Amino acid sequence: MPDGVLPLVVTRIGGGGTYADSVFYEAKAVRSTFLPPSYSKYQILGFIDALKNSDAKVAGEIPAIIFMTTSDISRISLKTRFAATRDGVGVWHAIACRVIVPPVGANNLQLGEAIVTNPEVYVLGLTIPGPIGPGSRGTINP
Amino acid sequence: MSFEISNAISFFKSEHILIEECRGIETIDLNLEYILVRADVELVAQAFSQLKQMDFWVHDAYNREIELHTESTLIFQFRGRPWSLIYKPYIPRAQFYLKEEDALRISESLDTATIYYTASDTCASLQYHLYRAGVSIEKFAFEEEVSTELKSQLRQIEASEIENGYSFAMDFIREQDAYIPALIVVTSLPPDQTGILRIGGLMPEELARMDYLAKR
Repeated sequence: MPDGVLPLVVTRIGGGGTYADSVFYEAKAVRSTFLPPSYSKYQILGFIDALKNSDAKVAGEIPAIIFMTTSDISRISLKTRFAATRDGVGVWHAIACRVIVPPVGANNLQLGEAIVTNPEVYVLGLTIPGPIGPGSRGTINP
Repeated sequence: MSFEISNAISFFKSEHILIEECRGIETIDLNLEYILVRADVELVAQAFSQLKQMDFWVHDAYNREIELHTESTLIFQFRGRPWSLIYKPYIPRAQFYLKEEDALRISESLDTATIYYTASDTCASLQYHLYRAGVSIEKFAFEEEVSTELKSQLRQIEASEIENGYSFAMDFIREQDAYIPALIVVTSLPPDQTGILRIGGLMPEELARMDYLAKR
């Protein structure tokens, strides 16, 4: 059960499409882990398995999961990235970070820009991923 | 206009299993908090309303129109099950939350067993605390790959011997003949509106009773 589920929108010259339930969001505020496939009783592997059978994947596109984490997770496990690449799923990572000058009345935290952690899945799929996820660039507190 | 509560909270359980047969923890993939009380809804609602000075009580409220208030609580019992559950739906600006101490006080006042249960999929943590007649019997706190703590009067086991905290907690809840249901919060409830008290996917016949308690 991911924390958020959205459609994948693909833009292509002369085509493209919108594929339901093909982008998952998962928030984690945890320590001492890089979120391997086995994390939380194989929850992460379950997400990749579900995306492997998503509408986007069935149509030959690249579904994705976006991990939104605290900065204790500095990178996503190699095993997770490998499993996702093998199954044709993009893995993105956005880290909660500080807004240097927040707007008046807002708090000073935001979600950082999501970065693709397995770009090879897009290279092999001859696809250029556009910006994904709700975040924008920011600063991580040391 | 009436708010559709069933669009805000959903109930999920494994297919092909009757509610009377459900035991253990339905899922660890959610952020959840409950107090379980081994008593009927009437007694639990009475004890909880006294403890929290709640002055608005709708008996047998499922499928009925209710006024929503910021400090709202659902007290419910599944059909054929011995435990009632106390659950606080997500309402912005609510001031009080369920606490371990509430479980202790209710256990004391009703002279029964209670379990405070909280788990967070986001934080990869899980905790339960079993009380009987106001006495702490077993407390377990687990944070995946970080820490495992256990204090028990039930058994002689060291926390370091526990191989998987999730499985340990699931077994414990099952052994208590209790069930932690999966209630999925889709959106918050709006205070000061009315709505039919229904939870998406939860059939009225699966409930023995659900009461609504609030502080006005």
